[in-house]
Amino acid sequence: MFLTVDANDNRPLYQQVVDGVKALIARGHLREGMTLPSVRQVAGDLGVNLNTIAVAYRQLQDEGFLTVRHGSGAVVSSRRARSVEEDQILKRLRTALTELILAGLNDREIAAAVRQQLELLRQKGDPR
Amino acid sequence: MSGPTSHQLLLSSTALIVVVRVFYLVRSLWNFPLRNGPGFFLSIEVPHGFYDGPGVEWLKRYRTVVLAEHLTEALVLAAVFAMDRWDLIPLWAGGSAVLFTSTMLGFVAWTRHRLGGAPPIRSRVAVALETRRLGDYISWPVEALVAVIIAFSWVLLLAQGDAQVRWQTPVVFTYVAVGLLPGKISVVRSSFPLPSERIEEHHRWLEASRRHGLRVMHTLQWFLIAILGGYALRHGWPGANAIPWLRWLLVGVALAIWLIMTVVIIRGWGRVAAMGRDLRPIGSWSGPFRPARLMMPGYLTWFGVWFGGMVLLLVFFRR
Repeated sequence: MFLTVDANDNRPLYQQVVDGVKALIARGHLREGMTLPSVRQVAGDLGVNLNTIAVAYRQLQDEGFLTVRHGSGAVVSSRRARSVEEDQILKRLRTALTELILAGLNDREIAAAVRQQLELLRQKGDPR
Repeated sequence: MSGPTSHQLLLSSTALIVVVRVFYLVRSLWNFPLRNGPGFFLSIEVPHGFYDGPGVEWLKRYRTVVLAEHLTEALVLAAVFAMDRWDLIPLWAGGSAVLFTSTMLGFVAWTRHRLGGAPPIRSRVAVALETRRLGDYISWPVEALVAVIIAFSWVLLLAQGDAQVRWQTPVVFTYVAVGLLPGKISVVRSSFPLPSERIEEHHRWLEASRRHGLRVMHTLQWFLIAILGGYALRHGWPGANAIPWLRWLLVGVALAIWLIMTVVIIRGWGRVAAMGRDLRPIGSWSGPFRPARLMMPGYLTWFGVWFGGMVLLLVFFRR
């Protein structure tokens, strides 16, 4: 499986890595117990600073998506083991919905966009 | 059965080298710049229709350089034959390797300077989330076996070496064989981003190239070890002279490994080239976070030290 980053994306690079890994977990490409390559390898392959990837891995670890074990690298954690508050998730959803409303989309368009994104997320093909 | 003379050994080895070099020239080298399809020349992206215009001239230049290099080697060999100086054959073989490598690297560098000044920058890149462990590419028990054979050879030579031991041979072969291990490690650790289109194909191709490079290094290492071990047996084991066919056997083993290595190089190259057809070669494009590079700095450093050290030992270590 592959992680894609884009220099033209508005998000900082570490956030793209975080979001990319989360998307792979959500699609089931990355399953519990799978090992991610080391920070050094990912940073080397992309040609970016070690700290950028280290920050991304740390955030994923803080959010409960990864467990970093000495000697065996970063391992994908159980999705159920995550302790993310439901309220926090809904807050993020509300922020995204607000953006869509402010962009001028009506309720039906918003619902269609959400459904489409959800389908894309569930797709098994293209990992992007 | 009597043992072969040094003259016979050098003649048969040289004949084999010449045959394989000619085959390699025709089979692989002749169309080497086209290995990624008509969109590229020696890992440089070229515009559509390049081979109907300036590409013809570039291809002619490349083939002239390759032919001139091979012709130089052939002329030196002919001179060695004419002078009946068989002792110069190993020097010719080493010199040919240096000339070939520097000519090819020089032409690639010059072409990149002239044709590939500004490789396209791609903002979107991908990486494979697969761990590359050294142990997945390098067998440590085999490396340990190599170390044991080298140590055993040196013990034989140091403890019981006869008066004919020329120390340059074991020193050079040990240096080159041992020096391949850091080279293998740098190949495993070489890292490149993948272009964001046809990611999986690019990834498979890069992995195949990596494994091909390592297989060549593994077989080269065994070829060197076979020569070193054979040399140690002949000059360090007192019973060697009593077995006339031993020399044939040792030469046969070394030549067999050399042939296997040649097959590995030519077949593997063909497979990798077929996989890379129409894909973007490393060095033909820049990622957003690093410039286009044909080789990683770590690999370049290793190659410079390894190759340079070998040349220095061949030239200056004369004991």
